[in-house]
Amino acid sequence: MSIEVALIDFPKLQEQITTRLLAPYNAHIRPVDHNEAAACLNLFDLALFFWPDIGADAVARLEQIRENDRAKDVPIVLVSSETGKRNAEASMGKGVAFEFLLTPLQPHVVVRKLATILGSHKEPLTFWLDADYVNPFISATLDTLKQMASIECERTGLFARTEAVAKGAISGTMGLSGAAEGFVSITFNDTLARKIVCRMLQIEPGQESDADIRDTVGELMNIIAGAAKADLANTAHSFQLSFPTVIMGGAHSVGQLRGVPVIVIEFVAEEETFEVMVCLMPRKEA
Amino acid sequence: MAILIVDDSTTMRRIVKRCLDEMGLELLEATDGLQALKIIAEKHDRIQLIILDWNVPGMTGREVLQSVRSDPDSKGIPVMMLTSEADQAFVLEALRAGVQNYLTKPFDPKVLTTKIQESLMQSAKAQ
Repeated sequence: MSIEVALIDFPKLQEQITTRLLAPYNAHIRPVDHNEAAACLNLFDLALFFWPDIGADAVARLEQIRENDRAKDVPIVLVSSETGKRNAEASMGKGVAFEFLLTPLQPHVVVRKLATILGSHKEPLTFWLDADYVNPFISATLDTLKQMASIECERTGLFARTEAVAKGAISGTMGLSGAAEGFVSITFNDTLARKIVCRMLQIEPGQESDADIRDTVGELMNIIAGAAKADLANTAHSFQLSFPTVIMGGAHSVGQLRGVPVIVIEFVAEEETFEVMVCLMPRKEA
Repeated sequence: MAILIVDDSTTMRRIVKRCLDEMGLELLEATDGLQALKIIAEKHDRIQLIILDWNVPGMTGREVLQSVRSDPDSKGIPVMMLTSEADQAFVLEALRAGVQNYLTKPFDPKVLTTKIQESLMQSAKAQ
């Protein structure tokens, strides 16, 4: 079941950012001004009220909204920058709102806070995985390793991560753009990366160089993204490829769209775990 | 007799080389379009097949193909596309632009060997 969220008095840019941040969740977003909110807040499960840095009497607006008795149980969360924070927090003591979020909005903070609020009123926010765009990356990964390296692998996990931090020794990553934008990456530990390289190049273990490993992981990323791209052509998630980048050494960050969670696909091959991260969001029409 | 591969991936060139070693063929290598055209200009009389990645740095595969087709010395050399662009639209574009054969990545190396043999046989028949 989706939740109805009102964005009250949000500037356009903040409205776009917040809408995008909540898009993967089962939330139906509607921007309204404070007059509309006063008349119809009872139609929503939750409201975010944008506290202005200067000007306009935000407390008066909130009190006007709260005059609607039918909406007295709808939680209102104030959203403010550091500049407006003190006044926003002071207003919470007047009973017009009971929670606060600081801009720039951090996805994991917003989701956690909203889930806590809604947990006492409605079903908590749940993350909705769009299998339509994940499956091509899964099948591309399985096919690529099987055909190019004669390695059978199995998908063992699928979950969301708020930050694109790769947990492995080496990642191939590629930015994606087009009807959808984002990135995809593949991350191996050192042992599995070397096994894959030796199988693809048909060389003995120990003969592989760091340059071989970098080039092979980059090429694998290229192939997997290309295969997924073909499956997603002519859909809302279609994209163009860029050139892959390879990152080596410890836990490392790969590219991430602001406010868009990262889908992590976990695999096992040759008794080692590796992961593919996908972050892909259709662009909105201008 | 030699085959030219145009691909910026060392891994891919090594995989192709292994296939050609098994067939007893010499491999010439180019990492980008400009280098490929230079090699073709110097050795076109020995090149029996060009294996071309559609996305190479500098020049697109289409641009390389157009240059090859517009040069009287090289226009008869068959071109096989080997690419990660598995999208049907790309394949059709390449076929219309004049590639004789294509193989999309990922691929089984045995299939690559078969495709190379096909391309060489087609080339021999045409001569």
